[in-house]
Amino acid sequence: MTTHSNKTIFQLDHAVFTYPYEEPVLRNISLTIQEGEKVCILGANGCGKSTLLKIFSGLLLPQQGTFAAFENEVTEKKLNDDSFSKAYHKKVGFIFQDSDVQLFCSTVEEEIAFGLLQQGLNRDTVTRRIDDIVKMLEIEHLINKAPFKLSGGEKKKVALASVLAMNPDVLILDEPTNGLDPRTQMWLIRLLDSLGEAGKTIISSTHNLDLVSRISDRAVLFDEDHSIVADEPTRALIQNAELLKAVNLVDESYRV
Amino acid sequence: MEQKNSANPQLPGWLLEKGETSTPESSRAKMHFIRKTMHHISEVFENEFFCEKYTRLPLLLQVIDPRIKFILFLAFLVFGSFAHSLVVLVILAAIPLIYAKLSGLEMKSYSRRTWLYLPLLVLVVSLPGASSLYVQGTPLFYLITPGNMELQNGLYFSFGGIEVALRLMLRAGISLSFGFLLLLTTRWSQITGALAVMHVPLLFISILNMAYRYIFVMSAAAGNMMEARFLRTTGSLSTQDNRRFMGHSTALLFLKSHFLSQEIYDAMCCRGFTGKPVSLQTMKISGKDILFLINNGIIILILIAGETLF
Repeated sequence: MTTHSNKTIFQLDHAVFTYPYEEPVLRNISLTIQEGEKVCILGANGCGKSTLLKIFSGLLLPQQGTFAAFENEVTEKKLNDDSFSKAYHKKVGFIFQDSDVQLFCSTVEEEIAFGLLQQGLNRDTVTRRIDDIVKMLEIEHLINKAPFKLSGGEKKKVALASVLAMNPDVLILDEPTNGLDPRTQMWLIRLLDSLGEAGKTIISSTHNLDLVSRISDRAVLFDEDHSIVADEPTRALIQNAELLKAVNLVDESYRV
Repeated sequence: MEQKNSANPQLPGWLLEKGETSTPESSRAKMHFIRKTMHHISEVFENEFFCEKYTRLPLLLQVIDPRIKFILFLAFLVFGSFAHSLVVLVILAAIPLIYAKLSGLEMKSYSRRTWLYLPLLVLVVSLPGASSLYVQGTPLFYLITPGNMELQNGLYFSFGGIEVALRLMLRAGISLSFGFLLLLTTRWSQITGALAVMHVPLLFISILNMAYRYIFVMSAAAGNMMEARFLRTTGSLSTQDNRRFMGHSTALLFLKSHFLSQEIYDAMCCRGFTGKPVSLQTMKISGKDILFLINNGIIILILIAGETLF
């Protein structure tokens, strides 16, 4: 298990979020995430996992309760401020479930450069970072390709490269292993291990219970009524078959 | 907390019945609609791969700076729009063909794409306007001889009228030829990069880039929808059903693109986008670019001189 500091990265206090004309997708959520933690959000489809990750990413704000990031309360006014927003998104990187959403530039190189140029880095630094990140992720051969021509695994790698190049302190991944073949899944797990050891805070959501203990030390379990029912070490949680069945995440055939 | 029943679901009787073992009948003509639509969607991708194939060749136009190409082709287009002489227009139409040959493009396919459809359509559409109803002159040939059908002067085509129609056709063909030449010898990212260097607003370029990129995402979605429909279409479909299906598919794609646009914007915000687009592209003009610019400048001057001669 990776050690982590006592510095609070995210804190939600009695947060409620509701999309227009719908039932609440998050009910009375109180949750604290410390620096360097590897946390996984678990729950059945539609329980509010993605919405929670979007709140952490600064894309949504709870309508009730409070949300604090890096020990400062996040408000709508702050998120609408360009300098705050840029600084926030530099610290918090978000990998979307659907890589197609995240790859909007005409070449892989432009894609990786997008966030770096938004940060106002000079071109030499941008070029150096692109070179480093494509070497690290072994995607040098893709650099001049158009993102839509890549395979699912390659798209995921480029999406990761485009976020990691910005060197975020917190990495949020929505269903990171979705659509990846077993080899690419293992590659991703090893990468997340290295990033965790480097002190990054990693928050992910997944349905893949075989992999969850490999990518997280702590698991937060959502019930279908959109509230948190458990928050404990991952290995202990996935042993609790009765609880996982109760929230309809697994069925009778689930074996620990 | 209510736990759902996880026992194997009970299958209804009809689901246990075995199907016919005889060879299925062909559903013939009506199926063509979906096949045809799938074919059109796949053409979107084919065109892109077609462009990609040629932009990689290290030949004449591929090695020229995209800005130089863009400016020169624009100059040729502007000149073509003002040129009157048929001789000059024919020479101008030959220039992209020569460049296409020197850039390794497949001439048959290039000529078909540029000259076969639109210019011929323009010619056909402009023929009524080229008749003696609008353009008078010395008759070249009569459609209706004078005095017949209450037309005192008859209905005829004059040399001037035919010249007008041919001029319109040549202009359409020339525009398409230069446009295709630019697209087939320049990568999309280089074209938009050239626009950025030429101070075209970055917001406009970003929108162009994203539109280009997501055409393929939406085409893939449309293709998948068509394939799913095709696999479930075991009988013939009425035209009304086809229309209804197309209507539903279009609506679904629209909703999908709406959702996608919100997600894409979120993804951009997550990487620090605050409404100011940026670009990585830097370009350098080399000796060969200057030589190409001078050569083509001379060609344009000769064509301008030709305008006064012919």
